[in-house]
Order: sequence, then structure tokens, then C-alpha cells
Amino acid sequence: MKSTRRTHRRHAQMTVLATCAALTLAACGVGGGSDDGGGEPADPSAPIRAAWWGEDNQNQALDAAITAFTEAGGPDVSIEAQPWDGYWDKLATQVAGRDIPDVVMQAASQLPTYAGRDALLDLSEVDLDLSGLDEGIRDFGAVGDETFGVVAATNAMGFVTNSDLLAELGVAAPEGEWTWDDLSTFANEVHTASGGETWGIQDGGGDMILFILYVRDSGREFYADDGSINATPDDLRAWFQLWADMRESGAVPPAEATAEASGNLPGSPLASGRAAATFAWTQDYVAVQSVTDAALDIGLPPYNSENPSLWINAASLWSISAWSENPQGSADLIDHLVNDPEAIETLGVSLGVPPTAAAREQLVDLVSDEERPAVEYMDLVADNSRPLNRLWPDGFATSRTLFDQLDESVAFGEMTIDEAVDAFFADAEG
Amino acid sequence: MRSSQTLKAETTAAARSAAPVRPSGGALSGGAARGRAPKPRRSPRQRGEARAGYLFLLPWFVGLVGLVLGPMIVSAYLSFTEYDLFHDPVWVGLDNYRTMFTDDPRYLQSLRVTFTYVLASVPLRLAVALGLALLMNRAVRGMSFYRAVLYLPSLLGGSVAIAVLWRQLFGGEGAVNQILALVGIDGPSWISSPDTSLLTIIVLAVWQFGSPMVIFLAGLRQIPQEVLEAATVDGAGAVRRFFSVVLPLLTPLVFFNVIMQTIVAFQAFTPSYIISNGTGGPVDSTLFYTLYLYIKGFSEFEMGYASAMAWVLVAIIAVFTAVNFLGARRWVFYGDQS
Repeated sequence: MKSTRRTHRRHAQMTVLATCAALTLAACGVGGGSDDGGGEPADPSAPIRAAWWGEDNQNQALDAAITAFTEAGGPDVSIEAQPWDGYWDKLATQVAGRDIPDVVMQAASQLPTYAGRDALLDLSEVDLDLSGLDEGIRDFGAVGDETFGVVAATNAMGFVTNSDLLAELGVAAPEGEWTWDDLSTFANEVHTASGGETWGIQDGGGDMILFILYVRDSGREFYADDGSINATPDDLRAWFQLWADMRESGAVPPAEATAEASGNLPGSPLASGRAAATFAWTQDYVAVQSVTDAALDIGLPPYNSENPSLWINAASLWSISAWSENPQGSADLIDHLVNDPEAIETLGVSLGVPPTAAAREQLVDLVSDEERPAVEYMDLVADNSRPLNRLWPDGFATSRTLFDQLDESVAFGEMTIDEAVDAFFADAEG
Repeated sequence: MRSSQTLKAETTAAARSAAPVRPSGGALSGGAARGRAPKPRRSPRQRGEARAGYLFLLPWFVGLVGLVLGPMIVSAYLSFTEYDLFHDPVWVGLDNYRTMFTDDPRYLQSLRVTFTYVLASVPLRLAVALGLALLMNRAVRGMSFYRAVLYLPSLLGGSVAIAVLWRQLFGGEGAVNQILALVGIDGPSWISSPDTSLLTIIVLAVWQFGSPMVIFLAGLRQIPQEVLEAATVDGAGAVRRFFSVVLPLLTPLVFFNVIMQTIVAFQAFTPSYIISNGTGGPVDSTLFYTLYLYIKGFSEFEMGYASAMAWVLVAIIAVFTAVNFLGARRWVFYGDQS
């Protein structure tokens, strides 16, 4: 290197020029204004890209349904499937490059973030028939007056028990109307009946969704209509205390065991038979059932008919990129995935329970034995739920992460309950 | 036994005479002395060769500008902005840097974790590497096989697969606890207890001693036999020979390894990302600097803040390296010094 220093100097000018060029390019990448695709009408047969997160079975089903769409005269579709974790990193980066796929799978928790930052197309700009969708869940794709997503599948939170284990211990799972205090009684009963060998229930103290159920159980809402937090510090204190007491008594696994199993369904205490119950989304119920030999049941979380706390949730949504060059072709693909009978059969309940009554009717006889309880559970939820008062506000995802972190700090004794409560509300207000 | 003074003087003299064959010159200062001939006049053919040379250089150069220099300059700019990846960056001056040190406890935690990791893992890794290099530095049948085996962890250690394996080994029901159970110890869940989770990652780092080991081994090979023999004749035992002869002659390599390994350690990412499931948990006990940077940039959409963090890391590494270089005058021994 050193021997060529002199010649390098001559090329210093070139270096500067090239650097400037690179900078200009980069600046374009960062600052280029959004092009709404106005102007000339787009070609509806131009190729499009579709992206989603999913497991193998979902990828195969979607791939097959999309192939059928193209064969039936739709545009060519290149697909980008990813696991959940990498999916959002990649999508965020693609947004920075103004280059997200035409059709993207969205989550209800992320949709406001992307819609609020102008990355998604208002679906009223394309021709898309959504009349078949259930009334209550059509709004999940809305932000303000605009619609940015079509619910692809629904799910709900459930109370999952290991019925084999409970029968062995002679403990009955709560049924009918029951309260969060009953949960604690049940969990302690399991722990005692097993001679301390089995935990009653997996630690759910860090799951903000469960806390939302807890608040709604008393007839109030977690979010006020304006998106600020409506739950009180007293609610949260009682919630953390509920789980701290259960942790103390051994009804719930210690913090280390919970931390170790986090993000690992097959390794969860329920799946390995060390806990008798857990709260889980319907699709996770199906996933855990497929890795354990024990018979699992799914039922309503603490419930009272006066204030049903559950709601039917959007497991995933389909959205269109704001920068799509073929928005109508993209809309046609979404229409195909949600409304086409053949596609409905191909997809089955791989993504969750379909959002249209027609699809559910069509699938009744087609689901497997492992999936059936989840589908039946959704019918139960449909009759015993109360829609959310509003959609998740921007910042929901961050609150949810913080909630989990604070609960973990409490569980490990790094924070008192009061400190955690203060920290949560300080962040919510800040 | 003679006084240590004489011993030192003699071995030093011997080392000095052996200087030209020592490895430090090659490793650190390059072959700069060669090729300093007076500027030659170029024939057309030479000019053609020069052009070809630049042509061959071009892919590297384009990569440097497009993939390293350009992004670096952009990130320097972004570090003074609020940039959420969605909207255009907004200039906020030094706000990001101020927030880091005054209003972000998680940032300070990530510094604590990273410094602990660097200060523990680098010395331990180098000690293990040197120890094994000493063991490897002898003529035994099949030695090259052992060397290859010992180098293996370094090829694998940074990978995702090993980090996943680590989760299994150090879990509550993992292999480590099963072995401990044999001797009656009921081990904790190493990876999911805030007291021990960082320790498991340090152990993983120490285990990847391969590349410093190979460098040490090369250094040991270069130590002239006559120096060691002279020391032996002077009555120095194995321990004495190591501390008074081998180690001083190896200091340039120790120095080189300390610099390189420190830089690498500051940037550690994969193990904590995999072992903590990308969260830095439990309770931020494995929240490495780069992991927090990644969380800020890609999960919380604060790319401006993440860029500022990256530049602070550059500054920290620069300071560490500079301090190392300054301190090196006091302990690194080059054969040509008197």
C-alpha cells in the first residue's frame, strides 16, 4: 500500500468524485419523494410481488393458491416468504428503500405504523369486494376513515389445558363463568395436587393482551377512544401482584424457566408436560397440540357474560404497497385469496380461521382433527365476545414489548411492582 | 545460579541478534521497506500494466465506495437526524447523542454489558490461546490433527448453529446441568438467569481461541532455539524461560491479538442475538451494544439514533485502540529496541 501512495494522490480527485456520486445515489434512496403511481393508468397484468411470514405448511398453501391465481389469467407473482422475526426487519428496510412488495401480509399491531407512515395504499383506490367479510373484523384494516388491510384470517386468545394431566391429578379446568381469582385458585390446586411437581399455568404476566382481557373483564377498555391508555395504575399493580403471588407459591414457573422457554413453543412448559395450562392464540394451540401427545383443550379465558372480555382478532391482513405499480392486479390477488372457493380450500385454516362465513361453511368438513377444536372454539368466541372499542394505536407494539420487559424485571426481582407500574405509565404518557 | 540481571542481559542480546527472523516485522509493518526505489520512468507497456492493475482494483474500489464509504457517510449524516425509515430524516443536531448518555438507561446497560464482555473475554481468550499454542508447539505424532481439531471451534463459534447449541447446553435441563447433576450439583438455568447469562456468552467467546492460537503458534515457531538454549544453560527452568524469554519475544503478537480481538469483541452480535432470542434478555443482562443498536434501528424504527450509536462505538473502539498503542510502548518488546 505504502509504495503506491504517490499514485493514489493523483486519483484522490477521482475518489472525491466517486464518493459524491455515491452520496447522491444514497441521498436519492433516503430523500426521494413518494411517487403515488398517479399519472398514467397501470397495467393490470404487470408482474407483482407478494410477501408474508409463515411456517412451511402456510408457505406451501399460499404458494399453491397463488400459482392457481396466475394460471387463471392473473399477473405473474414472485413470492417472498419469511419467518415472523426476519419478516419485519426486512419490511422496515424495504420501506426505507420505497420498495416493499405489492402485496404484503400485515399484523393488526403493525398496520397503524405502516399506514401512518404512508407505506400502504388506501384500498378504496382499487376495485375490491369486501362484502363477504364478517362485520366485526372488517374494521381491523381501517385507520381513520381509510382501509389499508383486508383480514386474511382471524384468531382469538384461549385458555389451553392439558386434559390428560388434569384428569390424572383430579383437578377440573374452570368452565362457564369464572374470574381471574379462580385462575389463581386453579393453578395452586394443580401445584398442590401434583405434590409440587407440576406448575398450574405458564407465566402470562408479561403478555399485555392478557392484561387487556383482565381490564375488559371489569367492563372497561384498555385504550380510551383517543388512543391513550384507559387502564389505571391500580389495575396494573393488581395484575403484577396476581402473577407475583402465583410465582411465589409455585403455581407459576420461576422467572428462569419462563425466560428459557420464551419464543419457543415446542419447549414451553405446557408442551413438555411441566405445566397444566397456558393462555395461547388459536393458531399456537394447533401448533402445540401437534408437538405433544397429551390431549389439549381450549376454552374461554376468565369470562363473565355481562362483560365478555374476548374479541375476535385479526391474525393477519393483506395490504397493498403505496408504491405498487400494479395496484389492481394486487387487489385481484387479495380478492382471490379471500373469496375464491378453490383458494379457500387450498389454504384451509393454515393461516387461521377464514374471515368470511362462506369460507367457514365450505371448510367445516375439511379441517383435520387437530385443527377442529380451534375452529369450533372460534364459533364459541363469536357468541361470547365484545369487539374492541378501537384499533391498536400507533405505539401499541412498543408498549407491548415494554410491558413484557417490565414484568420480567419484576419476576427477577430487579424492580418492585410499584416501580414497574410507574415506568409503564411514564412511558405511556411520555 | 547467576543473578537475573546477567541472564536478562544475555538473553536480550541473543534476541537482538536474532531479530531479522522474528515475525513481528512481517505481521505488523508490512513489506514497506521494499519497492521504495527512485521513481521509474514508465514505458507504454508499463503504463498498460498499470491500467490493468487499476482495472483489477476496480471491483474492490467500487465496493469500498458503494458499500463502505458511502453508507458510512450517510450514517454519519443520519446520526444527527431523527429518521424512522418511513419519512425523510429530520435534522435534530446532537439530540441523539445527548439522549444516549442522559436519558436512556438501556443504552448505559448495553455499555455495561459490552465492556464486561470485552474486558473478560479478550484476556481469557488470549490466555487460553497462548496456553494451547504452547502445548501445540512440540513435535508429537499427529500434532497437526490436534491443531486442526482445536481450530475447529473458531470456524464454527460465530455461527448461528453454535449459538443454538449453546442454548441447549446451558439450558435448565441442558448437558452442562446433567453433568453437574452427576456430582450432585443442581445447576441453574445458565442462559436464562440474569446472573449467569452473560457468563455463558463469555465462555462461548473464550472457546473460539483458534485464530489467536494459530498466530501465537507461528510466533513460538520463530523464537530461535539458541536463545532458549542459552537460557537453559544459564540455569533457567521452564517457567523462567517462558516469562523471561518466550513471553517478551511474543509481546508484539500479544499486542496484535489484543488489538484485533478487542475490536471484534466490541462488535459481538450473533451469540447474544440467538441466545437471548433477539431481546438481550433476561432483564437486559445480554443486551450487547450492537444488539441494542439493531433493536433501535429495526424494531423501534429509530435509525437516526442507531446511527449515532454506531458512531459512538467507532469512537470507543478508536479510543481503546489508541490507549492500547500508547500503553504498548511500555510492554511490547521489539527486537530492534535497546
